This record gives sequence, structure tokens and C-alpha cells, in this order.
Amino acid sequence: MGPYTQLLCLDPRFSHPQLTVGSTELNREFSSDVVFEIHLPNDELVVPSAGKGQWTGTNRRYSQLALAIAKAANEETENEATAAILVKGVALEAMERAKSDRATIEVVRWVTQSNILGPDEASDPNSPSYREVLYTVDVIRKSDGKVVVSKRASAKQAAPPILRGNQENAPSGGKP
Amino acid sequence: MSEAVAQEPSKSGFGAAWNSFWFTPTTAHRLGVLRCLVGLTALLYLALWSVDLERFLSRDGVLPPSAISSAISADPLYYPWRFSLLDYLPNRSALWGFHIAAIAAATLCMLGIASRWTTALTFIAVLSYVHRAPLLMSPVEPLLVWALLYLSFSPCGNCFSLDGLWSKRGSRSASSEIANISLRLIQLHLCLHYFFVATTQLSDSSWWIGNAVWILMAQSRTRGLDLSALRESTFLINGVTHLLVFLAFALALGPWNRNFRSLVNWLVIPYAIIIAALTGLWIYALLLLFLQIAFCDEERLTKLLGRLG
Repeated sequence: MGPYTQLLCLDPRFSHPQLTVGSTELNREFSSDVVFEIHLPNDELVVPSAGKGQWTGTNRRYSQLALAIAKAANEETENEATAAILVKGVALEAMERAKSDRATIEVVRWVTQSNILGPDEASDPNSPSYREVLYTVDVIRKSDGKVVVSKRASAKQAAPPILRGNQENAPSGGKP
Repeated sequence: MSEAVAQEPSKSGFGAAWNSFWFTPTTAHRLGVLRCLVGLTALLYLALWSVDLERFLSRDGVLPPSAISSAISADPLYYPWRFSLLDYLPNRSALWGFHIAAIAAATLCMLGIASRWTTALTFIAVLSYVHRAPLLMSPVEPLLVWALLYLSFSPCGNCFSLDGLWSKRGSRSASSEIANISLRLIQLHLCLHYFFVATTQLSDSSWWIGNAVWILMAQSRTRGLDLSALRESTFLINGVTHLLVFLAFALALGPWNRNFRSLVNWLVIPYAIIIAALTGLWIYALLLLFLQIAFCDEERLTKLLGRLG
């Protein structure tokens, strides 16, 4: 039945997290707002469709694309090639607008606040404490027109710093 | 005498109920109204794509067809069976040409001109947008696509259409089996949609605990209205969460009971308003409202529309 139901968009497997707040663990993990943050060389920060497109669906489309990239780049799925292909288009669009040859794209998740805030929780939903970077890439367009996408390792994936001599015994937060 | 009675086919039982459910001829009044409203929804859906058409769907846009093909082939979440006419458009001019043609088809479908053909064309156009970028699919498309599909093989142009107005006979209100089959398919599919929504909600703890509505309210980048001022009203948030699950179940099961049908038809209004306010999916909410007409009483609807002229 797959060829028919999928071709005619009648497949019931595709539930929508907007209505169900996620039926799977993967959806639950990513059910918060996910957006692109594009850093251009002149310290310009671009957030596509920020604050607009709420009712035309532009916001949601960018959010869904960011979510797809975050899922592809997830440590469990490790589908880096797909994430790189998808993020390239977003980067190129921003670079063309800014007439730039390089950009750094971050896929950022804004963690959902709890409705009853704890003593340590910020009341502003845009507080950096709710910001979580899921995926970062540098995109460079070379002089021959070729576009290179290179992923930055996350803090979790990066190897621990090599400590030498007495540094191994240094108290955390102390000077090396 | 008794033998003759025994040989007569039974008029009760499952078979008779099945035949009566699917094959009792009905008029196309509800289908005519549905065609107008589903056509309007398709028109809105396509018109809103105008804002993002070049950005997302052009060959040199954010999502070129090659990127979509690679993403879909690599990810088992997305299905391989897809076909989009948009994949074959060579440049932006052709894309705009297709888009304008799709909008024209939806307008003609809404007005009821060559209804079956224009409904089928609108169906193919909407499906092309869905399969061009399945990563961007929202809850609107699955509902819209099957509504257009079922309408395209029904006599939906017989009533409330320019076709009917221009024809010498005026609106044709003859009953037909195919009208009933299309209507039943729409009804069944709509109820299944609500049933899936409700059961999926029940598989997630946030709908049981009662804070799912807060999670929707807190999505500051995609929500409809900013209702975060209600964050402290835990009782209200829990109540609305459980109300949404109840309404989804009621809308899935209630219309099949004659006693509850007219009451349940009204329940779609609060359900759609809450969903639109919380999620910003106003086209989806509008479509849910429109599709509930499939369960309206034929006579009352005809009288109401007659009064409206």
C-alpha cells in the first residue's frame, strides 16, 4: 500500500508534533523552538524570519527545516551528509543577501520554559540559559564557486584538553 | 408463504447496514458547499506559498530538488514514493507560471467551473507542493489533499457552482450513489484523523499530566497568540489540555451517533479556535471547521443556504 498512500499523502504515519507534542522520544527531545542563527563576517547576526511570518507560515517552515537538520545531525542518527546538504541552502541564501563569502550557521534550540518557574530559572524566554546550540557549521564559498561546509565539533564531541604536569592535579577553575 | 419470506434477502444485519451506509443515494448539496470551502482553503494555502515560493522552492533557493532527494534517500523517516511537477521546472519564471496556474485552478474549483477537472487539477497542484518539500509539511496538507481527492470524483459541481448556474437546468439536485460514497469517505477520513490525533496525544505523558497546552503556548517562535500571561493558571492549562483530548475523541466518535451528531458538530468551533490560537495553524483550523460540514444535516444546510440566497 505504501506507494499509493505515500504518493497520495494518505500515510497516517506522519503525526505532527505541533498537535501531539511528539509521540516519539526523538520528537519529544526536539519539540521546543528550533531556529537558525547565521553569523556573517561583519559581526552581523541574521535569524531568518525572526519576529515575522507567524501567520504566513514562513517561521514554521524555517523552524521545520532547522528541526530536520538538527535531527539529521543528532548523535544517534549521525546523518552528517544530509545535515550539510540541507544547511548549505540556508547559508547560501544569507551569504548572497549579505554579499559575503563565508558564514557560520548555528541551529539553536530554545528550551521550553516550565510554566511555574523555579528559583534559578529566568523569566525571559530569550535568556541565554534557555539557548542550546545543536549544530554549528562554517560555510565558505571559494573563489572557484565551490562551497565547503565544515562542521564544528560540539563540546560533547570534542576531546578533553590534554593536561600536562601539575595541571592534572590543579583544582577545577584554578589557574593552570 | 413462509418459503417466500425465507428466500427474501434479509433487510437487516451487517450486509444491509453496509449497503445502506455506502450506497444510499444522496444529493450533492453538502459536496457543493464542501467544494467551495475546500477550494477556498486550497486557494489560501497556495496564496501563502507566494511569500516563500522563490526562497524555498526555486532551483537556486534554500531547498533545491537535489538536496531534498538526498535528504529523503538518507532518512528512513521520509518516504521514497513522491512525484512533484515542481521538480521539473527549470527556472523561477516557470515556477511562477506553475504557481499562478495552481492558484487559478483553486479559484475555479472554489467557484465551481468545470468542477471535477479543476478539483483534480488543484489536487495535483497541492500534491506537487507537498512532494517538492516534504520536510516542510504541516498538518494542513494531509487533510487538504484527501479532501480534494474525494471531491474530485464526486458530482461536487452539481450544486452551489457556476456550472450549475449557467446550465439550463440550474443546480442539479438528483441523488446519486457516488455522491454518498464521496461524502462517506470524507466523513470517515475526518474521524480517523481526529482519532489518530487523540490516540497519539494519549501516548504522550504531557497530555495526561495536563501541561501540553503550556508547551504549545511556550513555543515563542511559532505559536499563534502569545498567551504566556496565563502561565500561572495551572488549573486552566490542565483543563484546556484535557478538553482538547476530549474534543478530539468526541469529534472522532460522536458524529456516528444520531443523538449526539448535531451537538458534536458545534464542538469543532471551540476545538478549531483553541488549535489556531495555540499553534498558529489557522488554515488547518479553518479546514477542520469546513470539513465538519460533511456531517451537517442536508435539509437544514439547504434551508440555511436558501435563506442566505
